[in-house]
Amino acid sequence: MATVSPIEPEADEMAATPVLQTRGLSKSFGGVDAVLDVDLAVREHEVRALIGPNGAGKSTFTGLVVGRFEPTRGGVWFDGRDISTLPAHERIRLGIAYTFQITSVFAELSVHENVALAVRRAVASLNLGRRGRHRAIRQRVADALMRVGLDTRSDAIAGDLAYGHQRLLEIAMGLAQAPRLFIMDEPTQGLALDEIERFIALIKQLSTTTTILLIEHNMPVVMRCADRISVLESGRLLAEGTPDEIQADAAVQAAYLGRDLPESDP
Amino acid sequence: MTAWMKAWLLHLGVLALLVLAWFALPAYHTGNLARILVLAVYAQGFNLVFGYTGLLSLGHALFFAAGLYGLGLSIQHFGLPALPAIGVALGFAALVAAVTGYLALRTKGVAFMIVTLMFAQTGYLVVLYAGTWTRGDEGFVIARAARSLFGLDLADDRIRYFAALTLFAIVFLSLAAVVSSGFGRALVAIRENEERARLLGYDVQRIKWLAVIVSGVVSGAAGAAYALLFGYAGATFASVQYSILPLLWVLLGGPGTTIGPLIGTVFMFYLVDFASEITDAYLLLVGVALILLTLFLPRGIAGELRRRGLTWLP
Repeated sequence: MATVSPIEPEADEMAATPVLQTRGLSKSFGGVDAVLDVDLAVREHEVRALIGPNGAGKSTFTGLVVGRFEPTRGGVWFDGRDISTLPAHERIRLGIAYTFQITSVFAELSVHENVALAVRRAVASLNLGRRGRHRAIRQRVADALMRVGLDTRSDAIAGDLAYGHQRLLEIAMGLAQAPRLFIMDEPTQGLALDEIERFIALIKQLSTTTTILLIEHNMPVVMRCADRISVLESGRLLAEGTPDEIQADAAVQAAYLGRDLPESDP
Repeated sequence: MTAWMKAWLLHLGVLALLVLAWFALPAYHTGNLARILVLAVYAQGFNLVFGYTGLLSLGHALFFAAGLYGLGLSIQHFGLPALPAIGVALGFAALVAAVTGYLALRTKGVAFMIVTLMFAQTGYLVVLYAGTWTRGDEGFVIARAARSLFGLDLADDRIRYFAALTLFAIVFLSLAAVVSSGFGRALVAIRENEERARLLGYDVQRIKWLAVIVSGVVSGAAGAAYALLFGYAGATFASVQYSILPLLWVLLGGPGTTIGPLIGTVFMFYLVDFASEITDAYLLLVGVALILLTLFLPRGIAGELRRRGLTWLP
């Protein structure tokens, strides 16, 4: 499914500033390198998958990108701007949305309010006036819930939702921010098959307007969604390429995929 | 009827009841109620930080005392009239809350409790140390002549009651508006899941700090009103007891509800009043009642009502 990358990476790097770029990004926890010298560039409207075995440093890497941790070395650029020293909330405000690996919704609040919290912050800076803002919030919440298929559960308490639905709610919270870069940490974990199909459709639709960084264990999802794949192993970038290239890469097979490649169909 | 309309009807209804109470209740109870309304303002200030933002401060007596002494000392030693003295009290409470809040919010959880407790203890010791002006534990009486506002004698029972009710109403309605605003929702978001709120782009640290300042000013307003309406300022009001009391009132009434602080303050006041009529060991009765309530109504009275169907309670 590598049809969406008509431009060679070298030409691409010259053509436009990447939406997200890291250079020499490293993080060690108590002497152990969780992430080591990762150089990554994600161009606009790209779906980039980040894969790797457990403990490869994927979540630490995204944590460094959004500012949950401070890097030991290296830096992060967003739209060409060095955001390495910005606190997390300011990075988010620049147009990054982030969903957690471990579901993290406001469990005691309603589904609607969860998404509204995401929207309210995002439209706070828009010059809409009080009424316009209220209308925009309601519309964006309804729209985001519709897109993930939770529109009928709007009044439910988030903590009462099934696990898979809480994952979808998190995705809706990200969508509602209309981010420039959407980072999702294992979004399909716990989703039912039909929900995964719906998720893949959503990603394809979203990728026309948004840049997506996707950490994912479900290989069929990765193969069907990603334009390019980066493979992390022991904190280092092991390989990078189109899904086809990655599937053919011997080093990746040895490190991660095992001898038998998973089927590309779910 | 929308939740928003129900909430406003409830708030206006409560205020109307409190106006009627003056005409319907005997003097003993209206006297109590004047005091309760001022203390309920304090409880509301505490509730903003504890009930809505999820920060357990054990040092709010510092802000109450900042208002109490801000007003008391500026009347007593600088001969200010009541109105500018209120301004001094609110400004001083805001300053104290801004400085101690900024420092205390560098900590979380238990450490935050300890740091706020220590700040309040420091405040208490300063009051004792500055005994020349504050007269320490003994305190000082604010002369009746100084206790008038817009030509109204605040020592008069009726005027005192309605002055207390006016302050209560202002705070009650303002905080209801605050907690339903985007800022108020952000406080709840921080209480529920701080990291998620941060990664939605909320400046959690700044929002918490603002909450502490608003809470400090409201608590300071209660302290100033107490000194002005009841004409006394003493170190007891800066002691740890006055940091714990608003916690009890709010826990009883329902943390994170606008109506809870009033319910809790009324309940606790009359519980003590009633128990002390029966026995000298009234604190034992109060303690048992509190234990039963926390066992069976862990969300407080209003919190339980909200859970059992009144989901629109703000």
